[in-house]
Amino acid sequence: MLFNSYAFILGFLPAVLAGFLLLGRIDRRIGAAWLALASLFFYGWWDPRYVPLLLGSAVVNFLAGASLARQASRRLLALGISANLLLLGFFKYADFFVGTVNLATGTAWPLPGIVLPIGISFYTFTQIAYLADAYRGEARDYDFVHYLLFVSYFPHLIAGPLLHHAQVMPQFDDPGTYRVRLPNVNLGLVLFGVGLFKKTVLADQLATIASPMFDAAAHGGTPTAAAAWVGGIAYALQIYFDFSGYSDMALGLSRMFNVELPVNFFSPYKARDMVEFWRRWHMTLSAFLRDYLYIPLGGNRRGTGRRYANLMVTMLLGGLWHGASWTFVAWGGLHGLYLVANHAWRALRRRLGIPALPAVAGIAVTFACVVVAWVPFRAADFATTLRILHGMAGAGGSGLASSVPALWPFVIRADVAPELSHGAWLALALAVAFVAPNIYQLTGRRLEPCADDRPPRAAAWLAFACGVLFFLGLKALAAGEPSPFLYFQF
Amino acid sequence: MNPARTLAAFAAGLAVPAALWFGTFFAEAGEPSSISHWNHTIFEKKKAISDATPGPRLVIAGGSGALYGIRARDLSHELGVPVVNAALHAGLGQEYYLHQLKKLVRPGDTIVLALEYQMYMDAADSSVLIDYLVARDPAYFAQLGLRREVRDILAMTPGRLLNPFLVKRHPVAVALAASLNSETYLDAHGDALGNAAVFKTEALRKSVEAIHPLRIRVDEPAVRRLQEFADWARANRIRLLATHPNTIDFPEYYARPEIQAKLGQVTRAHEIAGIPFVDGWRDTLFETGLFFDTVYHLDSVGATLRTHELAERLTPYARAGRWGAVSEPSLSMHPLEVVDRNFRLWEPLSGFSGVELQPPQGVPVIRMVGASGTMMVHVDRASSARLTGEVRMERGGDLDLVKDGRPLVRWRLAQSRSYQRIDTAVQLAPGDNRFSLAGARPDDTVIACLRFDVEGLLPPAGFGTCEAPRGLNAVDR
Repeated sequence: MLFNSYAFILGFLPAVLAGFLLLGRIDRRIGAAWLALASLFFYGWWDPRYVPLLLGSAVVNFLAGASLARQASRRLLALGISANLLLLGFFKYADFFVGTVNLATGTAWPLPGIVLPIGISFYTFTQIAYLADAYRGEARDYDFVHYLLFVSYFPHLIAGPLLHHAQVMPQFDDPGTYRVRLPNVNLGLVLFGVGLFKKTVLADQLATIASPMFDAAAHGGTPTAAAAWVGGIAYALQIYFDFSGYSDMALGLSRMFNVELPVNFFSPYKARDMVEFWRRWHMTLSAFLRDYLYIPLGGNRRGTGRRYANLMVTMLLGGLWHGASWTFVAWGGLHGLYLVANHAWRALRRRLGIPALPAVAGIAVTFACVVVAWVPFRAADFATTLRILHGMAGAGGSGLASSVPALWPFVIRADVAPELSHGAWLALALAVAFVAPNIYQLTGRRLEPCADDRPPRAAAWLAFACGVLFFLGLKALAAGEPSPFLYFQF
Repeated sequence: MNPARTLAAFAAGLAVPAALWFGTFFAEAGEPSSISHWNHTIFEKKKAISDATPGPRLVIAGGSGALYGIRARDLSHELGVPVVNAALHAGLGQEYYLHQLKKLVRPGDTIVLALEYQMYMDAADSSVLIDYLVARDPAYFAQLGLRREVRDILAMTPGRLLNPFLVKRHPVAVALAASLNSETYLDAHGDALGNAAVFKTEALRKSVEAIHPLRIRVDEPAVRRLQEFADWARANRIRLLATHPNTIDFPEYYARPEIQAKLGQVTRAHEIAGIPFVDGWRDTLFETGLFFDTVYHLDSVGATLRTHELAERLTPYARAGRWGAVSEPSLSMHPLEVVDRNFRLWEPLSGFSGVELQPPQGVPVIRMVGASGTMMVHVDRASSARLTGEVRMERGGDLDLVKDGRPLVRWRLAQSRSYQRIDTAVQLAPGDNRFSLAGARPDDTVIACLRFDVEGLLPPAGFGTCEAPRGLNAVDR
């Protein structure tokens, strides 16, 4: 079931919310159990065959975690993490490994062709973190229903945000979670409305600009520089609005259930360098990779060279986490190089006293680097990637003359009322991404939370505006089948 | 901050645009839109053609793949039976198209279904269908059911929603909606002739070359509707045959078993409904160069080939059946057919506007609109050819012929309202040969006929032979 579907918005969500609040008044454990069951139903909507896999994973990790919380055992921890990685490796990377071996050795072993259970990367990582924390004594011996809800909680189950048990378990325990809280409902609706608009109006429209360029390149064409950059920028904006839209919706949904989830995006394309970009993009994954990979590898504590090596390893594995393909590894590797270059530049600047780039230049350079890195991430293979990168470098001609009509604000046809052109959609998306405040700022949050921050609230004017966006999102859904979120494949 | 007030504000934000949207819809429902004009006129013309054609007839059914790709006139000539092209727009969807088709056939007819592959998918209503129903068939729209109606109303674009108001204020907008798909390009058999190869510009050729293999899916509701239609046809003594849609030949169709499985499902869907195919899916795949602008639209050359092949497959059925009288073939051709013949082998690249079918002179012409017009002729081997044409320049002046950037010939045309003959021998290299015509005052240059007579490449002379030269004044360089 997709958040951006009528079945979810008009059926599943109201029924589950009403059941949760009603049953929670009777007994909060029943309320939590209802929500966990509803989450399993939500998961099973795609393919019920994988519900036992999710349940089994939750049971095994819960038992292992409980044991680790009582007695820290390195062997059990290693066993638990290995089991999780094996599960992920089998379902997500089996084809990749066999294909790579075939490529390297010239063998022709058949690919297993295993269907990827949706969300497996997210719930596996979530539980690895739980085991590690249980081993370190940072996780309590939780109630199983709450643990199952923590793993399967439908707002985050499929594509995050990656949850830390310490962020949500206390909330499941709080009796106030099971009461109607109108400010949370308001905030939830506002976030959900914005997220739905981002996904169904902006991201899906941008896909119609980006996909033809990538498809044409996949069929052997070298795009012109204008087409390659327009397509690349459109994809950068598409994936941003798609994933941040999903995250906004997830946070909004959870708010309606009085559970606060961590913010996952904070206007990442406003970042002035790559380090800042990763503090704003997929923030929960960045935090996970930092806490459970980069720091255990030694972080920045063992010299500059080792720090850069750790960064590269972290980003390469981060790329591989996104998808079982070398193009994702290349994407991670590019970002690793960017981060290394960024840190080296910062160190050089400090040493030589060079002033920082003006903010606009920093934002532009960072965005251009990010767009280039999205090419292997989106392209079907390396050949396509190279064709597009060559196109961006001008190998297919500038293409400026033929691109100008596409950038007019409206498609003017004498026989119909004007519609927004591709150029207008791009301009709108760029304005939202680069100029407009994000919804978290509008509800009173900051990138770096402070102790004196007040709880986020939605003002009436903002609620009205988001109601309009919600309508536009619902309207866009009517035009066809709801399109899955891009991050569902990871 | 009052939470109840905030919630009310959100609800108002949702309700206000919704009220505006639905209010606008109800204000204009049933009003004609310019977008639906073509579909509406095509259907009305086909209804008139069908009513006027004695039965039993062979009826070609499908979307625009059959509308442009199967020539009922040629089919009738080859089979000796009356044939009506009842194909409409595939965007109307299988359900509504079959509903409309019932109005175009009579007991005793034989329908050849050539449904596009997308018509086997159970997708949301297309913008074409919604537009048509809202503007031209509100009674049908009203019986779709509340859920589907609400969804369709929401699926309309702002441009479509406001279109009827625009049409009311600027009635000319309706006329402007016509392009190469103009209903005036429909001949007396219901064939659409707007796909004449002469209109295949470089941009169209590139757009066809960029087309990817089709995604094929067969959904259960589409199979069920086909079955229901077959039941209806049997009850009304109408025979059903099927042909696969003409589409571009991609190697993927042969290499990928999953695509072949889908194509097999299409065949099985017809078997279930008791509708025999007269061909296999491989038989209706044609090379990219024979397509006009979409994955289904053959150009005039491709349509001729496709029709001839279909005629051969239908011959046993034509011989066995009882048919109505075939009307005497008319000697007058549709002006577009004249143009098609006159400009055969001539592929315009730029600088020419569309055809003018009924100019005061009575000869279909093509206008030059830019400083020069560029055209292309493709040959497989080095050839000599003769370029002949009928050109008019009302204010007179020089007309240059340039080949691959090098000037070849200059004609000095007299100031005249009549056509003047241009004629020269040219050498063609293997591959593409580009020629440009450049006039001193290009805006008044009109070309009635332009032919490359290449050995062995032209069809027999007949219609459209260039007329005798008048006022020829060529200066060879």
